[in-house]
Amino acid sequence: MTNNSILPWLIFLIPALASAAEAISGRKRPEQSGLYAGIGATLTFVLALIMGWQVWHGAKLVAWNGQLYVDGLGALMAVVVSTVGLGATIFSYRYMRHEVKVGKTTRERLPLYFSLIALFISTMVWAVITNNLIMLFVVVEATTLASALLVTFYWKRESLEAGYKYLLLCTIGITFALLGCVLIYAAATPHIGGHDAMLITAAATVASKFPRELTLLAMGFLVVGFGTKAGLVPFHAWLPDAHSQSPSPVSALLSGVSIKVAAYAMARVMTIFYPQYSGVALLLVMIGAVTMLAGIMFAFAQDDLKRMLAFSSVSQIGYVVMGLGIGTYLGFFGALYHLFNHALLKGMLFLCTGALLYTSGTTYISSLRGKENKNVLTAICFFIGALAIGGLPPLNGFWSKFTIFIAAAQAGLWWATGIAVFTSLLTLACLVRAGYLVFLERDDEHGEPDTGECASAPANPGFRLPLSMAGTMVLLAGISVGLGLYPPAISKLVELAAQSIMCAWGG
Amino acid sequence: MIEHSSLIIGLSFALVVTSLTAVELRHLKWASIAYVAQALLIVALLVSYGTLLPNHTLYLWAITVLITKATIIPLMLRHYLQKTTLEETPPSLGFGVSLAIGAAVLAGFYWLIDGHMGWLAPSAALAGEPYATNLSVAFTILAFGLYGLLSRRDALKSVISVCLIENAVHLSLVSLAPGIPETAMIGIVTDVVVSVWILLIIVTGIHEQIGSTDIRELSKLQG
Repeated sequence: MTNNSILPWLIFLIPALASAAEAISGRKRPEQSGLYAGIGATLTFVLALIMGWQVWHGAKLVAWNGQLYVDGLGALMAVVVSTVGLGATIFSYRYMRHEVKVGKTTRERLPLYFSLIALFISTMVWAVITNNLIMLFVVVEATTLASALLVTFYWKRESLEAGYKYLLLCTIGITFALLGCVLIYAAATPHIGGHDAMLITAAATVASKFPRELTLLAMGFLVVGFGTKAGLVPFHAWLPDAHSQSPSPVSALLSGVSIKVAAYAMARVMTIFYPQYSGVALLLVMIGAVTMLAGIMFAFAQDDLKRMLAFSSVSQIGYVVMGLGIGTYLGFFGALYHLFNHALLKGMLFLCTGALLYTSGTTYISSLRGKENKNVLTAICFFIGALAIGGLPPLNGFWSKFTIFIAAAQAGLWWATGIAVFTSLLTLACLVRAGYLVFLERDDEHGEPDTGECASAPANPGFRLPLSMAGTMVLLAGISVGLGLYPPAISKLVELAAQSIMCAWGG
Repeated sequence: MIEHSSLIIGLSFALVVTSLTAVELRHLKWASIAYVAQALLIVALLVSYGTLLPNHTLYLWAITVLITKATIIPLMLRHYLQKTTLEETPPSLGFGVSLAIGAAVLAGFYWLIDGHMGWLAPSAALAGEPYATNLSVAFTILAFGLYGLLSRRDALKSVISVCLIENAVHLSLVSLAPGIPETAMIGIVTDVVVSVWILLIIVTGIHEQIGSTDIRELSKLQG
């Protein structure tokens, strides 16, 4: 059943209002910054859960004459965005104050940071609930615009370079997505009229009547466009820079959810052509395979933990795209399930690097080796994340990857299964090796266990991790473990999401 | 009607010439002026299409372009040029050679695609001239913007190339989707303006930090 509802409006307007409130109140009281963003992110999270609950019980929420549309897929994405968004906002509160203390930024810039974080969350939520082809482009580009100044937030040479690359490449890329969307709109207009042709759900019903060459060109543009934003190889050049140079909570958002929003856009728009163009689906499987393998190869070579995790994100988005390309129900299920799991895990892992920066002042593996003042909770969370992304049963990452393996095998794509399994082993090796070097390896002369309480290292005075930061990481890790041990807690929503892709075909 | 068409084709080719000058002129102020000229030509073109089709929403598009691309973006470019240098970081090629290659890229691409874009037309009314030419011109400018991005070293030239690409997309909308609602149009141009704005903020920051806007100097992050 389709319900008119005010929730789709509220869920992106509330963080937008929070963003405005941060900007206004920050001028007078910069010491309070983060308060409104936190409230906004909490409310968004609650609203996403309510929407998820309603969709779980069979509803589809519609607003603005069908321009906003929340089905299983939209609800799942809203939950993903708001969960990681809330975690990153809470983590930022103490983390950014610490950055002010160590002189990386100034207190006057904090309101800008929190305002942009809230805006970033707002645009991402809007992107996943819009049903308008052109607005989808507009909002996905808006996520880039909202996050560009977050990437350059430290205003150093490296971060400016990263931000410049990020904004330039993603803007050009997404312009191609606009062309793709416009071509679809143009092709749908003669069949259903200009107004309805804007709606993705309406365009899907007449997708089989589009001229063949036009559709192929449109899909090429969409792969380049959303692929750039998603960080697919060979369009990934901006991703490791942007994800490693931004403040850690922003990295968590970028790697955890913003690339998923682009993957979502592909899932929403590309799949409407699958019944007629199975070749394109195969192309996606191939791009996915290349992306996952290349990403993890690069990851091995990195010394900066954040850069390594960024390359691992490239690799993991390859799984999502491969799953989407397989084109069967199981493939979609696996892709969306992995999208959800990876968002939680990678968000949590980037928060761990933030915690490392907080306690030890660096994220370089070579400098972190053998250092004493590391928090034991950070280590536990990091290993949970590394093992889960590596696909070790019974953690959540295992279930989703396993589903993708089976889906590929069932579709007869044995080579894809092989690459996926191989990459999975490499991922496990890469991340666990990094975790070992950072947390477990120690020089022989230091025999004591590290507890996070030693604040005496002379080069970098250690800081105790505040409760809000440790709590966020532990909570995200706990959710990951919990969902791994009891998958039905989320799998129904993922099922509904996969069904909403399949339904688009039925018309 | 025929006179109208030839006016449109004339304007379209003038657009191609302004793209060439915007990318090739080494003095950044003149390059931005070439960009303004292109924006004004697009306004004129939209008005002509509006009377030809006839489709009065295109007049609204023309006003939107006049406000954003012919006013706001040039003002931002001017503001940027006051803070930084006026001379472009020269590309490896000399001016004459670069101009010749640029012109060859434009002409070659146009020759390649002209007459082959008609199949993109969504309806019979938009299939003939001058819409097919317009589409070829739009895709040519788009390709030339990409060429500009790859061949220039100066960050502001990259920004101008992005603007050319956005103009090309805007132009292609006339042939592909003249009925697109005004709200979507406003969303698209807002994105363009904000992205140019933020790009210029970042490029100014780069100029502050490293004293030049040569993007090849920016190569600390690799691998």
